[in-house]
Amino acid sequence: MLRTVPAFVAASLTEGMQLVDRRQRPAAPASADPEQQYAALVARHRSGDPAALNALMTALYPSIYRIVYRLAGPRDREQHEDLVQASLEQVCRSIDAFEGRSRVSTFVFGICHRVVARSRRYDRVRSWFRRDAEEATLPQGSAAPDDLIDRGRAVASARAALDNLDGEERSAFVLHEVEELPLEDVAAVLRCSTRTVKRRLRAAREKLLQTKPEARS
Amino acid sequence: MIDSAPIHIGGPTEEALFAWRAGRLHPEAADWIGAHLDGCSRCRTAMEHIDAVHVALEPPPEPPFLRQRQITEVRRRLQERPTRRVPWKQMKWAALCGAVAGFALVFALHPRHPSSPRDAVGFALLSRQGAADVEVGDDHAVAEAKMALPAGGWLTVAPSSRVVATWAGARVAVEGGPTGARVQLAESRALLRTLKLERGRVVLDVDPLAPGAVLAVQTGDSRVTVHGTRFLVEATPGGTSVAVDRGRVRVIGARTLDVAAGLQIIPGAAQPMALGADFAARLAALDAPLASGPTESLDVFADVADASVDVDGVEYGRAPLSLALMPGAHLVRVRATGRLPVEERVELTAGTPMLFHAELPELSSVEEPEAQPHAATTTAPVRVGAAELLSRARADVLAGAYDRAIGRLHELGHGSATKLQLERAALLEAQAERLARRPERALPLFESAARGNGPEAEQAQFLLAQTLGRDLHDPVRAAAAYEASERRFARGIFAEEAALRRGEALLAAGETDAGVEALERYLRQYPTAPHADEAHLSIASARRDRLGDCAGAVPHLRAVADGRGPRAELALIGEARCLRTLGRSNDARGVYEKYLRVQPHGRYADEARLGATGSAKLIP
Repeated sequence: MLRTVPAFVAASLTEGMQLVDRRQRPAAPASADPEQQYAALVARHRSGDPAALNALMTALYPSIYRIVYRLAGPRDREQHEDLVQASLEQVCRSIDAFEGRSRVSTFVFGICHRVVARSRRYDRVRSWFRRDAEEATLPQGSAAPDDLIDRGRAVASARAALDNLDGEERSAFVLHEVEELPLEDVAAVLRCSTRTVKRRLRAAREKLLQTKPEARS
Repeated sequence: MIDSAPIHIGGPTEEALFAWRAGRLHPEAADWIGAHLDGCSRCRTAMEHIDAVHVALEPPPEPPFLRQRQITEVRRRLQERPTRRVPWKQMKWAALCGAVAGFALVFALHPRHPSSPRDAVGFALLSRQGAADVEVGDDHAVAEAKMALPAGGWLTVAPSSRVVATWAGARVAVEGGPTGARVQLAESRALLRTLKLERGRVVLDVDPLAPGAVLAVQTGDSRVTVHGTRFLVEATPGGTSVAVDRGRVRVIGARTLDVAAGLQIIPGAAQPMALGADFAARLAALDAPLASGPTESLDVFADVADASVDVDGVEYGRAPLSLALMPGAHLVRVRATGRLPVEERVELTAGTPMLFHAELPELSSVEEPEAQPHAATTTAPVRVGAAELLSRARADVLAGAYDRAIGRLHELGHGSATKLQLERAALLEAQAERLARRPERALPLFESAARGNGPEAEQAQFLLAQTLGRDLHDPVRAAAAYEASERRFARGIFAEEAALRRGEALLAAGETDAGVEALERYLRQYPTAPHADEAHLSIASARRDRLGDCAGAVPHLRAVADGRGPRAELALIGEARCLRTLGRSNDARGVYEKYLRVQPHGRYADEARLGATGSAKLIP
């Protein structure tokens, strides 16, 4: 008998599970507050410690990997990795300009937001020329099989709703609701007023919940 | 602050629901919303959708080595092109004009993604048969399909194992052979690729190289360079062997000589000789089909050694193996000597690695019975004939000749055989129909065989339910059939598994309450059963995700979390997340700490570290 982990269990408990025996050693023992660790590494880098930039990249990498995915949405793996690398490179190039007026993570999120926004512009222009080709090579996307489980449907529907948000709305929503940044920090990342952030958040919430008609009727 | 419209009159606003979920509300407001959600299906639905949004925003796990590879690449780029401060004030007009022109050119004429260095090329692993490890610096990982091994990385393949990878236009098989193999991607750039072979054998199929490009295999005593060919290099303590069946290679060692297609050179030989059958077979083995486009990994394990696996009719070797396949439907077939083969259609979804454990039943259940003294009327010669027919039919099923087996079993039906033999023949025929992908024909046979009372009837009833659920995808009827199995054969050998599968079938049919109840009853009845962990996780998942009952999920997760292995790891992290959802942050922190003690380098170690320090911006 060929036995699989039941689909609904796999979908929730093992979602995104990497079936790899990861025996990587941790890069460095995590300090109590990642923000303090980032700030210390930035200071070390500025004082000329040649190893600090590597350590900073290693420490920031998980956040960049995560936030880029959340801001850009599901793309194919290579595109995601390109965006992560572009963001990481931009962080390194800009770190000397960091003035310490915000948290390091806010500064990093701002860079990621701009890299992703630039990539969206590329995509938009590219889509004028290559719409057909793009559609043919999209990953699984919304082509969900009929027997997709309920939870899978809900997540697919949520993905479709997220795709309906415009870039700025999505960024505001992700940064405030998912990354739990205060409104002021979100405003700093998006370079707009908190009033604008609130307006975008409201629009995002409405769009996300209105895609579920029974929730509003 | 809360300025959005309420979900319904008198209900919370959308913003409040989002804030409640994030734990940002004042405790009194949170309590009010919690109580409201218990009684308001509309808000609960909205909350389920919010949950789904959060799940949809969960990134895929970070692939092994990606971090290290990208950091190395960024460092290289920073060294190549250091950041320079541009004197904007002095050259703002020039910069503005340049930027406009640049934008127009770059956007309109050559749209592409941000920096995408493609100079470095790595191994993209396609499949692994047997055991193999990859290592980069101090990092180690089991070699898995879809893994990328960067320049400088090592690949170690155990004896009798094999790894196939692509390497920028070349296909490479690293074969463990009798001693195992170890190779390093010493140089891996578009124009210069060198594979350092410490021991073992590599087989390469290389597309014609671009002008100026070099690909070489370096062993302890030789360097083999190519220009578009298929060849094999084997490094042994006695020296290096090279065999070629297409194109030509140059071997530079103690002396330099060319080996042309159809020739091989072995240690001690003065001149190339005709290609031997062994090397020719190894070279030909590289001709397996390649997936094109995006792929996902399918890992196949079997409960017996030496089980061979084929997918969509292509033989991939022996389990355990890890394959990179196109997303979509695939037919997986696992077989082993003396075991009933299994075959199942699986749906591979991009972004979700799939893990299969194939349990190959022994043929004892369809074993030819010895003549029973109390069996019904037949004469001795006929009984021997029926036994022989059953035995041959069983061999046919094992060999995959299902129609021939069915023909023999029909023949047996026309003669005289004992009732027991006929029952077993019906079971074997039904199994053959299933394996021949005609499950609808198997149903009446199982139904007929299930009418009796003996062990054959019990097995038929169980297999009937399994056919309905797995082959015909009808969980409602499968649940009814499992229930009948449980009821009629309460003390039978399949009683425990039927109880579990009934609960699973009910959940698959969307009957969440009934499914959870059935699985909880199963656990009360068989608390230490081998499938208990499976049941606990199914219940926890249904309670948390379908019933919104995190409190009910926690005990089930805890029951599994105390064990070991990947399920325990999942249960621990699931428990921590449930506790966070319940607002029990301190308890959640304790569970994250426990996770770090048990799995300091586990898949969720990053999340656990954040959770344990309480500074989390965690996934829910």
